[in-house]
Amino acid sequence: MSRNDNGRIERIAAYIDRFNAAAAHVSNLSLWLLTVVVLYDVVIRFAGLSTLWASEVSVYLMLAVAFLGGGPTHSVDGHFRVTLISQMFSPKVRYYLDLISLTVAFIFVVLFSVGATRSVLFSHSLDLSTSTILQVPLWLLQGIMMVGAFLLIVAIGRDLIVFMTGKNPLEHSAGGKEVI
Amino acid sequence: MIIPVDILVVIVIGFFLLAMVVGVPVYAAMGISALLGNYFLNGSDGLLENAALLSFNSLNSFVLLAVPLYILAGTLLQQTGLATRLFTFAALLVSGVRGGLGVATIVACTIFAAISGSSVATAATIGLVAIPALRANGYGDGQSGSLIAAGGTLGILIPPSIPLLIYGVLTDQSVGALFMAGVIPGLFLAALMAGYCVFRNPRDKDVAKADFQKIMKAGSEAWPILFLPVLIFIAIYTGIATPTEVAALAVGYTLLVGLIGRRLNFRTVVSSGLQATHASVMIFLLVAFGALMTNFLAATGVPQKLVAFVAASDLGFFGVVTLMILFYLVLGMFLESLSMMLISVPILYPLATSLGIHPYAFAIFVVLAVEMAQITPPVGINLFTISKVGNIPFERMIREVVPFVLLIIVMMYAACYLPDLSVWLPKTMNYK
Repeated sequence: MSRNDNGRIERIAAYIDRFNAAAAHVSNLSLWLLTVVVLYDVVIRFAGLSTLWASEVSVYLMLAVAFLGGGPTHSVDGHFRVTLISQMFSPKVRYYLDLISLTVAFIFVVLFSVGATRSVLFSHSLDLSTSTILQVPLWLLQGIMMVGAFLLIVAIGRDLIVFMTGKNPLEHSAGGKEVI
Repeated sequence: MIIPVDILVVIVIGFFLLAMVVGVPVYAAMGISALLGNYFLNGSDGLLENAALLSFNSLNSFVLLAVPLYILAGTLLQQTGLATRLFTFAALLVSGVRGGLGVATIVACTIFAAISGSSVATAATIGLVAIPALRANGYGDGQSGSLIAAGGTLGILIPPSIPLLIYGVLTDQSVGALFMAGVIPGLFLAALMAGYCVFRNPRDKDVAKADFQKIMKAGSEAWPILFLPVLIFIAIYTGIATPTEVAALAVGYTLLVGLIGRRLNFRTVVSSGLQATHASVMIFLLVAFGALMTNFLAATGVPQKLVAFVAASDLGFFGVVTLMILFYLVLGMFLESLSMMLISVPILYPLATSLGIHPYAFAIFVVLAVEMAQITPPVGINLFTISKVGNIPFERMIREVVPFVLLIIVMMYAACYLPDLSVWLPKTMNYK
């Protein structure tokens, strides 16, 4: 691969990084919004009133956090991976192991996005909605999952493209940080 | 289907393990293994749509809302730097006790654990403050590192606890009751660890016995962090708020304390949010795609077969409990805590209940197993955290941590043989 091609790939990767950073902020915003909604619900309840919509909306916001944050979390290597064994090998072997691991993850995410898209189309064709007070169209909520799957495809795809330059994008990553 | 079910299960689990060894992210390893298994079990009709819907539905839960909120409260609290005041208060409180600084570390971990649902956050936050003080008083690096790593594990036993939350979702148990179930075993384990510190350590050379006034002064300076566990406990125990609502209150409270005390600003709040987002997403994807694996295992009837196999064997209660401990000991060497729970609980929960172990007692057993995994090499995440935070070589802590692992194993047997340790408190709240 020529130096020009490498430069082009690095530029694409940089664009995707910016895109992932923006998606991370959307996911972060959803988290703060859900905090506000749950807090509002508690305060209103203590005041003797009730909000029927709050718990429903907060769950939808959580779905947004979960699915829209998948790609950005991949971009900071935040998904847990077992790196103990692969790190016993030389950088060259590790390069191929990481390439295989990302390819497997990519295949899964593509399959998942196909399933998510089909679910959205099915719900849309039957005009299904949630059996709750707000009666939100189901395709809209499943759409979050679909968009999240595409974000993951972009994030993993970015790393696979970087592999083409001969670099290992996972070389210095920690394999996810345990949080609990 | 051409492949017999038992062989299919072995192939799928083998594929899952292989994928993990190669370094596939655990959520993807779970998802693709389950897809493979379901394909051979039920064919390709609706395979991908069902997988997407199952993942979607597994996250469509009000209980899970508490996960990002407790993580957010923990990350915000870390940013406030209030842990220093907490440790000072704890050190003065037990200053007259032999090995007091060790005991103070455990006390500080216990209090922080009652705010944070994370073991790593507890170890990292207390470690930053406690390691220099322990070093100054002649505690060896390995000794102080292992003490904090072990003390940190209390973070997931004493409520709030993210593993107990996930257990509640997996087994359909009340999260409020599970949180209460962790209180007594958590305090009991903390007391055992503190007792070990007294037994093991000499009198700290730099620490004189503090008078009551000094303790009260330190207490008044640390009140924002001391009040929060009380608030959380009372709210959950009395049922005036659900664990999810309490989590939101904890976030609001921490934010307020941080902003009023000028310990938080816009930048730290945003970065705490981002940190909590990434951590929560990691958990959510594991839950979503772990559900696919659980669904596959349930469809093959593996848990029921395991129960029948154990019932037909002569292992007895002690034998099965010991086998489960060994199973978790091995599993914990390679897997992080949540993946470990997602894989094991759907299989072992029916077995445990068939043995007569109460669901709350088994919850505590599982959380203790997770604690053990967090301080046993080669993965031992708390050891890595302390190694990084305190600049302590990982190898130095390995031998020193063994007594704490043994204490946790003792507690695991206690959880099974003395169910009242975990069941009594929830029962006083009218849970069965």
